[in-house]
Amino acid sequence: MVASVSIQNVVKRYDKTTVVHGVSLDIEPGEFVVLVGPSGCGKSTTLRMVAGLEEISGGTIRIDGRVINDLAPKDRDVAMVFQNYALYPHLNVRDNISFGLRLKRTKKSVIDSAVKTAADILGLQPLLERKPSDLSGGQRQRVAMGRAIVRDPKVFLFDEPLSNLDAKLRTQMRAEIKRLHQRLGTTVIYVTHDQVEAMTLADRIVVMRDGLIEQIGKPMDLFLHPANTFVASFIGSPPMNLVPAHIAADNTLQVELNGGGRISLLPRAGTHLAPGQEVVFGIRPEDVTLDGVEGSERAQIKATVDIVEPLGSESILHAKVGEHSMVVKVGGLKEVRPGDPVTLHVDLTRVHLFDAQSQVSIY
Amino acid sequence: MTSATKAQSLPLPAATLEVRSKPLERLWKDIKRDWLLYAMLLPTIIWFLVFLYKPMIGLQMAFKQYSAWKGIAGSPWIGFDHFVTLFQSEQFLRAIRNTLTLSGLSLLFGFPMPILLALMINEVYSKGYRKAIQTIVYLPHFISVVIVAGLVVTFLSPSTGVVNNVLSWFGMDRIYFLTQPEWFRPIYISSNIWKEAGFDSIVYLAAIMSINPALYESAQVDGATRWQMITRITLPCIIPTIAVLLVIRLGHILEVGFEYIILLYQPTTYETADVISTYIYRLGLQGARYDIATAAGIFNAVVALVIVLFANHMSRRITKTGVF
Repeated sequence: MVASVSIQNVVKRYDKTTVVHGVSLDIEPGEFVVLVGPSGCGKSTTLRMVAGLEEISGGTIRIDGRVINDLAPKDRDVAMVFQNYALYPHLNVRDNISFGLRLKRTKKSVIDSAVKTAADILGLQPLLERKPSDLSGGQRQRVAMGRAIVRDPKVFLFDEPLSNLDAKLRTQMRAEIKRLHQRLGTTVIYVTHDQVEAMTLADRIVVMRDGLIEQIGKPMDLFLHPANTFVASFIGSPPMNLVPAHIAADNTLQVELNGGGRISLLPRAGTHLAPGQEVVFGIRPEDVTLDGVEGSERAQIKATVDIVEPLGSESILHAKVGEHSMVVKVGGLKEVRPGDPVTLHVDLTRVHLFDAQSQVSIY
Repeated sequence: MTSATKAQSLPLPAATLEVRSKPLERLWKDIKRDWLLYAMLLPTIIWFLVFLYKPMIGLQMAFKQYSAWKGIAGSPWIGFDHFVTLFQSEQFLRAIRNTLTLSGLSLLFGFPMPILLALMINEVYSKGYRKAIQTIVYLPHFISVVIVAGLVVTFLSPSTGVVNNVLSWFGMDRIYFLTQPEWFRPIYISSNIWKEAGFDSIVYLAAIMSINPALYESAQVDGATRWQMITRITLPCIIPTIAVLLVIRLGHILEVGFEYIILLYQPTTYETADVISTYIYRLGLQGARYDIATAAGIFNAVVALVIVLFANHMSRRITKTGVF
């Protein structure tokens, strides 16, 4: 059972403070949409409005074409997984999973079968008689998902479900959630502040800031074509290097980094750059190398190594370019030390320019 | 050398040795390090020693033929004679019966009231309304029992009391509430509930406040009604608190409100109102039979100890929570 979700101009106000300013989003049946953004951006509030846990101050939310603004949460046919699991401490895993079904006075045989199916999917069979206090964080999160699964909802809502887990467990659970979605095919709205979760799980990512949507798109679209500096710096790890710059006065296909360095740009159709225009130069750490082959699609910038962060398979270098710092991701072992002069080879096909004032992508 | 033999031949770590051989030294070190904390603890320790432990020396009176001229040490031992006398006294047996009945009824009606009140207060959404209710129900706790007894006497007065006035409006006979034994227990229990239920509900309210709000939200999404949330989330989540308070309450089951009863009862209501503590008071202080009164006090304490141990044991078995 899959359903579409349509969020149109949804607003949330608390007294005089507006926290969500007219969010609009159409989610296809079976789609996995991730709302991502920093704390306080309105992503959880938006999700809670879909769940019915927050009243909608303005706009419309539809599930499968039916307006649900005034429906009680139970009548929306959604199931929610909470950040802190929200497991009933006095009930064992079996009773936690079947809680919703028992409330509806579902037949015992149906409950047993639903619990068994969910437990099989999530590997919870050996834990059914245990209390939440006897479970690890990952197991608790699986129980929370089991509780959502047995309700067979039209839409799954996840509110930062992996935030309370350690890094290793988070990676495991991320894969489990993805597997679960592939198996069930249900529409999912997933809230997180972790861009890695967003990139790895989503069919589409919705980047939010200050109660507004900054950009909606497929993970790689957002990574490759960020609409503005906020999305550029939010998506990707380490984030995109953003250096204040201006277009050369004598050549609009050249950009001068404030503080040093001049880079020739490749001509791109539909780009209008004015001489002397203030811009923000953007390049991802992956698109800069130390030993690139010289060519027309490469630009060289002189820099000095500031910090080296070896990660094993790769290293993160922080290099000083004039007064600015640029982060470079280099593969393998590099014999560089802080203070070493290096030449950064910038992949010109991956250069981004943003208008300095509006911060919107212009190249 | 195998690892086992190695382990055997290795000396114990210094810290373990210290713990085992020199606990007093460790305590002294502890005191020297945290002397400020121990200094703050001192008044409480002194209070316990002076008011709770030192008077225990006087407990030997229960086993002596006490004479004020000879003093406790000089009075002759008589074994369990006073206990035998007590259990042969119809008045003492009646006091035990009354104590247990009054405590049992107080527990039955008085113990659930703060829980119910806390649940009801928790359901009030309006903050202002809620605060007003809380203030109103907490206030009686701060009224002295003397004043409460005065209020009860005034309200129930056969000539001018509100209750009797209302009864007479409906053409009913005026009732001499405080002189009729059958009315003593309902009056005592209901006025106690009025006085203490609000204040006692604070602990339960605090326990309810500590319940993760996401549990209610999750239940809301699952389709739980307000009633189902109370019965399936709130109540089960505060069971450990209820259990602990029940154990504490059971520990005081034989300590019915002594002053309050003294203020309310009179010879015509002794039949239902005379409890162990009032009996001890009359016997010991008014009748100057300190030795028998002490024996009655010891009996009271031993029974209370047995009850509290049993309650704690049951609580540990059922809810896995106990006071000790």
